[in-house]
Amino acid sequence: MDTNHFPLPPIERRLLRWLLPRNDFESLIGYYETGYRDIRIQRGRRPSRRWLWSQILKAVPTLISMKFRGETIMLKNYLITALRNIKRHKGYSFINIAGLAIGTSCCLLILLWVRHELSFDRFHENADSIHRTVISWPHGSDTRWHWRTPPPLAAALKSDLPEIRDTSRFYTVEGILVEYGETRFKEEIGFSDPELFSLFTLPLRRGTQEVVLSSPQSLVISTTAAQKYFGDDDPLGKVMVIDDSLTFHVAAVMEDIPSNSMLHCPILIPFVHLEAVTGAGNVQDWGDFGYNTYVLLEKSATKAQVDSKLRDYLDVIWEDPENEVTLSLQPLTEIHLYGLGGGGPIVYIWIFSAIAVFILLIACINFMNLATARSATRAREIGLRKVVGADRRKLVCQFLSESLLLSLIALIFALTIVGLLAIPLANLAQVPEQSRLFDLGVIPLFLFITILTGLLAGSYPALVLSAFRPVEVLKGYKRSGSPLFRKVLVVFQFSVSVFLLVGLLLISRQIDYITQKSLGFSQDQVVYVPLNEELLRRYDPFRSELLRNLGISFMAATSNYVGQGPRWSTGSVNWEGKDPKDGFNLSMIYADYDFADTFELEMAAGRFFSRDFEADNRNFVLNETAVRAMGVENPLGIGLTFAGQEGRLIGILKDFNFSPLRDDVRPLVLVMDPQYYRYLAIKIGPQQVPASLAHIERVFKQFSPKYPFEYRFLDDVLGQLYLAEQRSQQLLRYFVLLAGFISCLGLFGLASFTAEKRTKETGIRKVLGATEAGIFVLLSRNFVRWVLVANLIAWPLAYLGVRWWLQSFAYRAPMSWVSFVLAGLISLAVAMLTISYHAIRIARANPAHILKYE
Amino acid sequence: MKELTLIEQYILLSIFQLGENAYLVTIREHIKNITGKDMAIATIYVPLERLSRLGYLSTRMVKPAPRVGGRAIKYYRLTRAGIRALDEMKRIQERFWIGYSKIAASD
Repeated sequence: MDTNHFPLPPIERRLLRWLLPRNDFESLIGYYETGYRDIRIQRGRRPSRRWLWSQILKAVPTLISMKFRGETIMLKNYLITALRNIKRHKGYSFINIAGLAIGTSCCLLILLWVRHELSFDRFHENADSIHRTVISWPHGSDTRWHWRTPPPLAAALKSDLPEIRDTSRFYTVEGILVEYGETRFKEEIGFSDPELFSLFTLPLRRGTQEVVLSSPQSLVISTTAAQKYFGDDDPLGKVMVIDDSLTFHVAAVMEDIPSNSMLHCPILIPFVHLEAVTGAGNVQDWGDFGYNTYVLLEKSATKAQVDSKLRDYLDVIWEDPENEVTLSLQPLTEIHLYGLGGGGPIVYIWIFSAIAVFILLIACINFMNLATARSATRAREIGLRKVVGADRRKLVCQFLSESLLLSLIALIFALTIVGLLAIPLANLAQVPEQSRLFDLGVIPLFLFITILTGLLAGSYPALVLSAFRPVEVLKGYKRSGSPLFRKVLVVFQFSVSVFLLVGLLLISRQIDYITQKSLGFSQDQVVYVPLNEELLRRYDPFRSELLRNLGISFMAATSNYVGQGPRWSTGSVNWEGKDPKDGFNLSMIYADYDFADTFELEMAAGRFFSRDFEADNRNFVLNETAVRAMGVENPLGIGLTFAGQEGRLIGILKDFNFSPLRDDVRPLVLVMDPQYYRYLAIKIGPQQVPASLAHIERVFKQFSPKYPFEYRFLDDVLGQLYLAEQRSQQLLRYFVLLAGFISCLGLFGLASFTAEKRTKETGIRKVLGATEAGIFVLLSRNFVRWVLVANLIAWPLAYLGVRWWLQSFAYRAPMSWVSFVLAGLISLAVAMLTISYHAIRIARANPAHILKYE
Repeated sequence: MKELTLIEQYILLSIFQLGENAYLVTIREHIKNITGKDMAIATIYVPLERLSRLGYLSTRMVKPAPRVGGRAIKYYRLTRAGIRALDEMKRIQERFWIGYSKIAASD
């Protein structure tokens, strides 16, 4: 064999085979081969390949025009025909283009949103190798998950597992006072190890990677925050005071962390300060599950490998083989999308993607139906084209290019709609303003969707129309595709619309139900004021000063917004006779004496904490569920050991929903411990709200001059618990409207076609004595039947769909048949309205005119 | 006579100068040597085919050399019509160039 034989690379070879004219392919490819080989021998692989590609690319326009010389002429003709058709039948073109434009714009908007959701934390160079450690433990028949791990875990993992290249802890605390001279703001502070910067891609604008967070008194500030504190001054080396006492110097300025990241915070300080700032959480405590631990795996290591090593890791640490808490990894890119143990935004991504596809399908169906129903108008043209030599393939090409043209026109309108709606919709979907929905990357996606739509919409009409026999159509014998198939398509359209409508009605009912359900505590007129160490130091005088206002009846220091879910939970509870295998887990609320009165909680037995009993700051109050779960008879007064502390059970509270209604009432313990108090909940009288607030502010300023005064009403806080559901309800409302509108457009078109086709028939009927009402019924009967069938199909599917969605709630509104029937009636009414225009027009027409018409 | 583009004129003249040895690769080389322009293979092929269709060129295929990777080569030759076209071209061009050198000299 020839040692200098270098064949063309296969991809280029195939490309050339497709591009080069067939009759001279042999000699032409030979020239390419020779040129390629010569350069290959003289200058090597890279230049030869570059030469080949420059040869191909330079000649592409020439080659393409040569290849499609015949076709381009016909294509021009197709376009002219299509444009003429659009112009001649303005009504139908409007229906088609409007439907496609609305469908496409829906699809594009959802696509933009999905893209944004999927982009979370993907911008890190190591995104695929970064994981977060999570824990899980069995709880009855299912598994409970938590993403927070003890602080010493990070260093231990790095030294114990060779698969792990680096680790970093991360934790954020909101509302910490930050000072620079006289400039003061409350900020969300991130606590992390210096390794955070080698794990994640967080580019620095000033300062170097080496000095970041390495000295314990250094901090990193984001560009925007630096601007806020220092203006145009050089931030490096400036001294800031955090949490009133800790001083730091600015070691580096980082680019703002993008909003599509879990690490969103303006200031980062070394993790060691966490204890000093929060007053809680021992940095060496293996029992303190409170912090994010991120790990970077070696390129060669896999998640499964590390997971298997982590399974018994905590057993070894705790020297407890019975331990049931398992450590594992969660990929960084899944954190935003997937809830631990199922659920999460991915559910809504799937739901809305499905809706987008369906709405686009509805628009495509409009096109299919109208094109085939009205094929008689094109029959002559098709017949003639066939007679002069067009084969079926050519005709299919023609109709596909026609539908592609329509979908391209629709794309232009759709882009306008998207441009108008992207901002309001982004607000609705809670996409932060600074994140970019649009970039060049979406253009190919948009085009892809448009082409797909065009091909899909054009496929069925192209097959039907191209099958016409010239002899039949030229003689005037009409055929217009299978009417059965058309019926199926219409029924499908309406099924989707009814499905969405039922879904909307039921989801709205559920949201009304959970927002109006009585929670077992009073959330009205309760103001939350954040506590700080100035106030906690002088808590009693502060409290009595507040109580001097007549509008203020009760107040309680607490760790939680009641109703928002617990902040703390623990498994380390013991009582006499407890089964050691029992995986008993208690949610915790820290609260002081007047908590029950502030929230109007009722006692089932015993009493609440009282100032009359000195020992109460070690005692406990449980809720009924907790007592039931413990299974102790005569529980009042039993001793409980709780995180190493001993106390008595003094009272049992009636169950109240301290968590969002997605969850059942869980076992709960109330403890008094000032270290954990974060808020003061104040019950104020209904008449004196402004006066009481003014009083609270004055007293607050008097006792804590340094901190800005802030407050929130509890019912406002709780009103935001179901934002995700409420937002999807709102979005769904738009989509139902759009789906219904597009379906009706199609129905309108079909009705006008039917009316036109049956003009003569109705005329004769009227002459023979049919009434207007009778004709109206005759014309609308079929459509009514279709809508009813659509309802019958949609109801069970909607039932199943909503039942699946409801599973994420512990409290569900019963699905009543009213919603289904209502959806049915609405769909029927809208459909009747749509077709009645044509039906009435024909029914009332003068038969003399009609019969003369053809 | 059909209008010829500049590249078509170059090709016809190259084939005239190359004589028996005119095929795509040598034509391309020839044009490159004279004008300095490095044209893609297919960019030469298309006008070549047009000239053949117009009847200015005749072609003959030569069987591949008996070695691995050898391909057939398509040789081109001027026809009588081609030569007439060149004559016509030359006549027209010369009339356009009349007087040019004098102006150039006086500058």
